[in-house]
Amino acid sequence: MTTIVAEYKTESHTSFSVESQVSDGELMLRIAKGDAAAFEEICRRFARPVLALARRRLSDPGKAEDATQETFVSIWRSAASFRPERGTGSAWLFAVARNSIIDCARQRTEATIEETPEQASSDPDLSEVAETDWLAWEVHTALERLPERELEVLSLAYFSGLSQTEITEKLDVPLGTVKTRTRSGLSRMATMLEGVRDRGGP
Amino acid sequence: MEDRDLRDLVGEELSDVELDALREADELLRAAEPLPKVPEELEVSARGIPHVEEQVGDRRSRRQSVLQRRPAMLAFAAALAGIAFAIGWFARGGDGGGERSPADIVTLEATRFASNEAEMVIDVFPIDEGGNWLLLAGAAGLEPVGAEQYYELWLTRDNRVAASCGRFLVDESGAATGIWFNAPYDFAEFDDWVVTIEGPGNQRSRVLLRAPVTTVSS
Repeated sequence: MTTIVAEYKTESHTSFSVESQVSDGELMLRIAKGDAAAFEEICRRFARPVLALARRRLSDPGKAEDATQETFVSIWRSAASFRPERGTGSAWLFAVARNSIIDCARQRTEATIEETPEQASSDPDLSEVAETDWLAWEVHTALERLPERELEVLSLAYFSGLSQTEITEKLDVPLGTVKTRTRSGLSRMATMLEGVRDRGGP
Repeated sequence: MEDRDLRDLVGEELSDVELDALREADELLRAAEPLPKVPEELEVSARGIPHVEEQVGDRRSRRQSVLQRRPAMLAFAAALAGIAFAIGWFARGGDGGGERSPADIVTLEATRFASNEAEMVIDVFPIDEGGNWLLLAGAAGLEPVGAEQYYELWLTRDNRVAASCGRFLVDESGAATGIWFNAPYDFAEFDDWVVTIEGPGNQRSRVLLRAPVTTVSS
């Protein structure tokens, strides 16, 4: 059995190693037995995707952080209810996160219920919201699995809007290296996200 | 991201088939939002959940127990006040024999969960023969707490609250002065001082003030 190394840096991706390739499901099973190192690894993998999901659904950043916190408390408490035969660890975690976020949103709604206007909601259809959330979740969790250098170029290209030339200057690496890392990162993402639109969420 | 050809990103040498294989990932990334940075305070508590959870459980049972024994506790509190006075008297050098100098002065500064003006200054007096550090603290700029809430001074290790130095309240102006704590610990084992707000409904220790541990134990 592979040993999980508890030492890691949450904001970096330098721990792209054998240890970090243990499946989410296996980590859940270990957490169910009280394995703190497995829990740390799950926090490292999912803290940002959970926070991103919470921020999409809760406009209050503090509430989003509360929901994130409560998600991980729930994981620690209820990992024993995870059943690998019913789905992946990532899907189970997504469901836990979504429930925590809904709970936080309900608390907010209860606090402001009197201010709710009596008119039809213009919010998008709930099934569309769920599908969008699931796609974003899958993309974010896939990004978290990329090696640091590939994540770096993809983030600069897709989220900062930099051109390949600008990325070259920023990272001080040849243009060919930027393209190679982009290609490699996209290829890895393509593998992880293959058929994601058909898989559907939990 | 601007609308640009995928081929510009990955190079000209890829075949159309290879390019098609990357296209869905490209489209999903174009539609995605960036991953957020996890705030330091959130990370602290996320990594310490098992520990924090135990503390929440401990606090709940302690609180329950305190409520059940309130009359006895009131008498005990009066006795504690006397002890605290005696400790202060000792730290100041007894009956006017000159004030003892602190071995270190620590200033805890506000995290983003507290107002910028919030701070705590701690005079750390030299360790006594029993291995205890006496701490004399003053706080300012903190919010007055609600019923059953209180502030707590901790030492942390590996981003987890590890040892409590004591609790305190603030007045209506958010200040507290002359707070005495006792820290029977080896400071070398800890990383930071933090002040958290605790009480009913808290599922985590939200860090309001922080400073690195700099006091040398020897």
